[in-house]
Amino acid sequence: MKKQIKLEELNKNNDFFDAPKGYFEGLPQQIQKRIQQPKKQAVWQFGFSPKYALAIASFAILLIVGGKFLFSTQNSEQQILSEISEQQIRQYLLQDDVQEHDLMDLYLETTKGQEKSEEAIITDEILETEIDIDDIEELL
Amino acid sequence: MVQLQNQSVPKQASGALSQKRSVKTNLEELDDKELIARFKEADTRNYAFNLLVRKYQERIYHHVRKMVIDHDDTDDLTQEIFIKAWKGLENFREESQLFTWLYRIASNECITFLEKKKRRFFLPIHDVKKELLGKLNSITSNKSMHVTGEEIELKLQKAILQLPDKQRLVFNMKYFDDITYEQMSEVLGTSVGALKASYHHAVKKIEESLNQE
Repeated sequence: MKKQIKLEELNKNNDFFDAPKGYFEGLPQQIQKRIQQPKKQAVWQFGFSPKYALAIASFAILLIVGGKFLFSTQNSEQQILSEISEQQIRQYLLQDDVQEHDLMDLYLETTKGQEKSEEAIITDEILETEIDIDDIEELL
Repeated sequence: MVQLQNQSVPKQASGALSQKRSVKTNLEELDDKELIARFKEADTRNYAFNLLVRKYQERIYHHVRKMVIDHDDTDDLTQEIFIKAWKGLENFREESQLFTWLYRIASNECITFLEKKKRRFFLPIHDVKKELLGKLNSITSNKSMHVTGEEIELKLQKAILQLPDKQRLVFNMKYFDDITYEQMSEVLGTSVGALKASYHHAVKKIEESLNQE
């Protein structure tokens, strides 16, 4: 039967990890040198630690990529619209079943900033339309 | 030394030399309390600190080396530990012994270093252990392992590496440095009972590992 190894029976070897020759002679001077050295101020000592720098860099990359994506989609929409001729739009509006209220909604949507009411739009349309005297007579 | 005594030294110079030598001898023989007192005086500060480093450098080096294995890492940490001691010694209140205070700084530095290593490479614990084991193997490959005692020593070091970092600290301090549980309690801020239990379990695990093959 193999003899069981017991820790207390082993010879303690404190020199298993030996330092390079002459290391301890030079260490005190090395430490003194570092102590006497004027402190170099690292960039992150001004509140710009590597951790924060990484977070800021990631945010900046996200911002650039996101911005570029948004800009490119906007551009492509404008490009598609610019390629459609006025004639084609007119034909589409005449042929397709476009409801008046849809057009009204679109108009309201596009003039949202101008804060025009539906009533004001109708008034504008009436004023802009050339009315025939015969039509007025017919109405009256 | 004998040669120096036999040389004819001018009387004045001889007096200065003997005075200088006696100051040096006295400082070298200073105990920790006196060392600290000298450190707190501006005139003897550098010299006292130099003596302190000389007195404790080997113990601190080996304490750190057993934890981080690699010599370059140990060198960095040892320097860092003594620089921290330089900064903190002014306010050292002598409630604990100087060497337990130094061991405390050293142990904290080791644990912080190993934790940082784990975090930096997003590695789970066993990978850092693997890295340390690799370093241990490279050290031993440079040594001649013909002596049976050294082979057992290598097996022992490998078994110690399998322990959790804090338990390794406890084991190393008790087994290699013969530090008492009371002193260890000062170093690690853990109760004597918990330290005894930790050491007992460490011994059991290591013996199991040594007897496995």
